[in-house]
Amino acid sequence: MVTKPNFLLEYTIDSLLKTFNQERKPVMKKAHFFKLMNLLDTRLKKQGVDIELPGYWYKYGFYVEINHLNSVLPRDFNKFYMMNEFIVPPLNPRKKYEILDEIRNKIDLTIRYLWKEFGFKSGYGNAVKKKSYEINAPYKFNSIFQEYIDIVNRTETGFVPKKDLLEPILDNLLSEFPDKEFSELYDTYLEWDDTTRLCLDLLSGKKQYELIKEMEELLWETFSKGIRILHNQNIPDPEIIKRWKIEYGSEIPKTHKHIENIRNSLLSEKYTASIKDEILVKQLMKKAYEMSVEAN
Amino acid sequence: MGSHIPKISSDTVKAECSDIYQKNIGKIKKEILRSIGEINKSKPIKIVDLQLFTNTFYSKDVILSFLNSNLNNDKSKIINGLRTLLRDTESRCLVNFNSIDKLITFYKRDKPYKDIYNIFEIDGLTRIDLVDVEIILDAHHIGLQVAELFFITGDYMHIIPRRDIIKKNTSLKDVIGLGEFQS
Repeated sequence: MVTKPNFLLEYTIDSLLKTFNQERKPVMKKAHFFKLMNLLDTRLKKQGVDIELPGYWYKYGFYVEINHLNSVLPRDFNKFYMMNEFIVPPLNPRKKYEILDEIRNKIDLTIRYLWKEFGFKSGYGNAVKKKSYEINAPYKFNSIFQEYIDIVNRTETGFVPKKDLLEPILDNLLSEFPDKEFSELYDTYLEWDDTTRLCLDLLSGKKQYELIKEMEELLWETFSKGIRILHNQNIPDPEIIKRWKIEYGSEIPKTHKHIENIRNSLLSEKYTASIKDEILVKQLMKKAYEMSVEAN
Repeated sequence: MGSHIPKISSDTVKAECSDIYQKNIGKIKKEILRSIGEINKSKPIKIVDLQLFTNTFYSKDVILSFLNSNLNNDKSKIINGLRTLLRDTESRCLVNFNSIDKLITFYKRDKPYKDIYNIFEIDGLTRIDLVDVEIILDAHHIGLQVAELFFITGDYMHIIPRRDIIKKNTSLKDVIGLGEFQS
């Protein structure tokens, strides 16, 4: 049973940090801490222990806002647990947490398993992120998009053109987009997909990199604002989710317009028509014209 | 469009045309991209399912005609063909829009012409479509500077039925429907 403030969560965090960072060194990045907490939370839930960790799925996986931790923990998280950008165990941990021994044992044992799996291993941050995605990513689309971001960010791709690396991932993304859950974003996503491919077809080098990167950030930012509305837990104030909904709703048309502008520039300045299906092109243009006449 | 008669319009018309262009071509783009999404998911591609999927689409005939003539191709070829069809259409529309932009002189109105506005307020058009009234006022403004100005419009719902009232109260020589216009 979780109390307010949440001593059970405090104990879990203290125990995890003590196990992973006994010497209180600035080594654990925030992102890695969030993913470890996500794995720990999932494994504890399976054993019937809910520590009520506040968090949500965002751009790079499970994310916890420090402000939300401040709201639910007995002591300010940023004062007691943060050393610059790193998460460290508190200097003076609480002596008594008022937690049942049975629950305490489950928590400690699960943390020991986590330590065995990830502690002190090189690249543990990436391994934890991978595991967290494997177990908890809300959609396959999220995991594939991380792969997409990795390749977009690579400045060197050897002799293989970026187009050849990215197009198969774009195909996978197209198959996995959760269009039922994100119907309001689907048309924007489809235009993003085709415009990204257009960019890969028409540009090269630095210009291609910059535009592909801009496009990637544009979609991911908006999609992430949507995903946190559907996939969150223990957010301390319902007003926060209401604000997210408003932000997401206003973000979609802006993102769509931005993609449309990029697309129109590419088509006006770089594209050469194929003249392949001339009759069908003319029919489509006629349809567009007839729509105006019908509307009037 | 190829004639030497000066072609004049206003910023209001340009903005409205640009909106309509974006809206109409946007609808077709949405339909084709959705069809691509659907084809990508379907295995194998069934024309009956796509007939159903595109049932309410403006571009249904074109999409199905493309599919029928490409049925022997594999899925990725069909999808790429549809992408090219869409891009060719959009690029052609953009070229046309830019050519028209160069052919026409656009005026900016700097007077309210309140007396004429009031006529359309009594007539009810200000309530029905304020942009149409703005366009009539723009045309009147240009008509004061250009002799014998003909007002060519594709708006058969609001402007053509008001031909007489426009001719009587503005500087315009006549109002002609786009379908009847021959330069």
